[in-house]
Amino acid sequence: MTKESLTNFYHDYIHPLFRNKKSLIGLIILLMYILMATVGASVVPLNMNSNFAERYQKPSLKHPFGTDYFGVDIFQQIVHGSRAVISLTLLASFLAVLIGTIVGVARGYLEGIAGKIIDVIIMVFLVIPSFPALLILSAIFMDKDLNVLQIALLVAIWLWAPLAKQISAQVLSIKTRDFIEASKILNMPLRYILFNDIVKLLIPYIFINFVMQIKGAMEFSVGLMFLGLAKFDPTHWGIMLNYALYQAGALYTTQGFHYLFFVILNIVLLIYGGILLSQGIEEIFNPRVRGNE
Amino acid sequence: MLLKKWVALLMVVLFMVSVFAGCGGGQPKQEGPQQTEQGKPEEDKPGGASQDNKQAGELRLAADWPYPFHGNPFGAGGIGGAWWFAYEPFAYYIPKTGEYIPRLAESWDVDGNKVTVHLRKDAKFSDGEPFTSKDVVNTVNFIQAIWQWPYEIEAVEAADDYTVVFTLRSTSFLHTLLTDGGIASLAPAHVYGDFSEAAKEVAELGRQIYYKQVEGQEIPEDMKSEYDEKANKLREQINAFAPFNKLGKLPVVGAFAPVKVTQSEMALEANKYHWTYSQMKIHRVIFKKWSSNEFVWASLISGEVDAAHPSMPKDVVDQLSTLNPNLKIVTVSDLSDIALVFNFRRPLFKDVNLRKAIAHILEKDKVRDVSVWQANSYGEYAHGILKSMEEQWVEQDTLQKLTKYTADVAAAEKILLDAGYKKQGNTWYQPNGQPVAFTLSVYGPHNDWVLAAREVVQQLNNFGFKVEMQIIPEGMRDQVMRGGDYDAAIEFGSAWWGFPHPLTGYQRLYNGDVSKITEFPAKEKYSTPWGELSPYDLTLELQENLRNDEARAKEIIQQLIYITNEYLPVIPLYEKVLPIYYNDGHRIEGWPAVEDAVWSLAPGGIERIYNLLIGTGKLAPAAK
Repeated sequence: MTKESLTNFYHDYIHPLFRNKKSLIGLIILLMYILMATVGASVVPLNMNSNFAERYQKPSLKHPFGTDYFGVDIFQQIVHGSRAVISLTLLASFLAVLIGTIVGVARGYLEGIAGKIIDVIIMVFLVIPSFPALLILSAIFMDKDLNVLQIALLVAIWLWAPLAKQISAQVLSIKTRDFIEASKILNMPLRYILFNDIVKLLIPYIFINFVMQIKGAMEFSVGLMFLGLAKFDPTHWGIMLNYALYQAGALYTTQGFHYLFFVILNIVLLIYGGILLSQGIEEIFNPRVRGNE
Repeated sequence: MLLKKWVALLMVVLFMVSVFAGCGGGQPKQEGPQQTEQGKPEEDKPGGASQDNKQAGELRLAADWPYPFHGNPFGAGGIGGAWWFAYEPFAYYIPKTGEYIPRLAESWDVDGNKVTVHLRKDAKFSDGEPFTSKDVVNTVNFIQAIWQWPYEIEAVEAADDYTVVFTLRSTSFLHTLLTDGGIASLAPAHVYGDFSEAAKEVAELGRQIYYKQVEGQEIPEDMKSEYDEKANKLREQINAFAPFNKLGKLPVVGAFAPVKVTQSEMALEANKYHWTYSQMKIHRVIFKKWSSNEFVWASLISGEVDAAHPSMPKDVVDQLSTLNPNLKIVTVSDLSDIALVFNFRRPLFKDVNLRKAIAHILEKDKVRDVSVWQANSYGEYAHGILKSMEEQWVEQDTLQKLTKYTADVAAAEKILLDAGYKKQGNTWYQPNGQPVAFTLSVYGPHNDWVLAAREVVQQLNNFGFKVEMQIIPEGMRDQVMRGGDYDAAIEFGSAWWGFPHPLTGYQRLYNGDVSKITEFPAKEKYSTPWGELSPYDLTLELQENLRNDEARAKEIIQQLIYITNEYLPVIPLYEKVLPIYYNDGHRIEGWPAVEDAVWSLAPGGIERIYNLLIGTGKLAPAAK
């Protein structure tokens, strides 16, 4: 890649992200969490020793987010848990979106038997109740030491189908447009039509779906931990939320408000950062949205 | 554009109106003639709300039950929370006072292995049929045929309508015979009569096979196949039998019978023929579905339920007491302890030095605080006697012989170093050079166990072991634990349910449920101040001497205390307690004082307390 093409890439794709307020704020938020996940753990030491007498301490300089039901600093747990959240959850969301997009585009574009077969596969994954299926999977994989990628794939299996269905509908609508017909007349390869003509238009849509999948992936990863499929990590934000709600009853006591609040705040902020970035991207790259500004 | 806005506004208004109409519409439906699950008007049901009953009190509790409701105690889920209201044992036993309160039995005589039970003559089923010894014989046949238990009853005969004679294999079963809710009244002869002969036959065959097995005899193949064929056929028939649907009612000998069951609520009406009916001031019991602990907490705050026993964090209890001043709490022992159990199939845990080190590492009070803050602390011993029973059973002489497992990291280090373990960096290594690494499994749906496991893992990792926590998914506990598919786990350790006596706890550890999952080598002999002894043999001997030679029984208990404490088949963390919350004076009044011995009846069937209090006229509608 030449220096000129790099400069062009920067001016065409990166610079607009900094100029758009939404994408800039979204980027800052996401960058903050990525930093937290990568270097945070070495800056903020984690002390998980419980101290029941110091439970539910209010936020202070010593404990910026206060302490939880065990008397453990919530801020430290959020920092150390971000690694699991970023790696497992984002990876699972990414895989779900990847599978959903490929299958959805294929279904939208392909006609006849092939399209129907893909449709059936999507429908099957849409209607399989995920929890009993996870129970079966947990029985099968319980002894296996699954790595993050394998666990992320297990989560993604249950998340891709709705996206595939939506994308196939979008593709069905796009493929009747004139420029697709033109590409076909010009004998452009299928790969070009699918990924240059069609997927490009869907990028903002796919990105926003990726962001929205984070919440689902987080819930699923907690489910997997409670099913014994994933290594139990008490600092995972989903596990923290589970502890706060169901084990410590933080919702039922005024003392526990900050316990729930800071966990939820971080989950919301991470997702909101992604939403802002995706909205910014749409404003930058979708001419129709830009036209409404 | 403006039109669009108006249309949108109209849609929102319409939506809200429909939502409110939907909410409001539910209430009047409740007041009209209700259809039960069988599609008949409620008034047609036996025990249906009479004018009297409508004015009498109502006790609201929380419980679970199978749905669709079949009313078959042998079917999946039995009859749920209604069990102790619908079925009666021969007697209730109050552990705190050692008193037996006669229920279906007026009295009983014990002559060697023969127990003669004299039934009360005024007991009747809720459909008016008299309760007689035929029903008892029928029930014993059914439970032996369906549950393959209790084969401790060798024979049962109806001497006359109100006298039943049991022949037991061991008198240690006497307590269970008298107090178990399943032995006397589950299968009324007039309801289960069609299956009685088959049940009798299967029970007889089952007993023969069991006794041959116990005596080490070979079971003839034709006997086995005959049993399998007949037992399977009977189970199939019984599983398909739903008296609540077939008869439109559930004839029970207990004080209350289920009359209306939905997914969210179960209504029980008083049995007009029950011997305590005239004293009852409460004629209706309503169970709300125990869908989650949080639901029960909210129901206790609002007064929707009158009593329940959910596990509740300390701060939630404080908050609840502030929001609902009527809410009272009493805490009783559950007659069980929560323990760290080891899988003795793993070589790592065969080393008693490691187990002793772990006993010194663990700060058990910290585990208790985060897990069940009301639980009884175990302190420094691991002798297998419940903390609340320690004074009664552990002699001072014995106590002085026992190792004290105080939380002492230095002591743990010394034990390990003396045994050849080494610490390199932050990790401890076994004498064979492998790190001390294992997984701690815990059953996910038991919140308090998960909290305990988290704390134990933290403490052991702080010490320098490599311990990971693994959650056992819902429904897989038996498979994982009985299959030995774990390293260490949080589980019930000693438990004195049924017969509150050390024998029950030690049987569980050395010859029962715990020994099955841990495979602790209980038949091996262990060095003790009394010589080389096997806890398995001692448990059998204790069972034999329980009533024949009390002095020897006491001595055996001291020996078992010593072996359990020194060889640590499990490490108890805390004695589980049942916190019972009740709304005093909101809808119901007359609750006993906190120190009243009746509360100790709770473990294994808390509804017995409510039943007893209603039947004695103590619980009554609160004065307005």
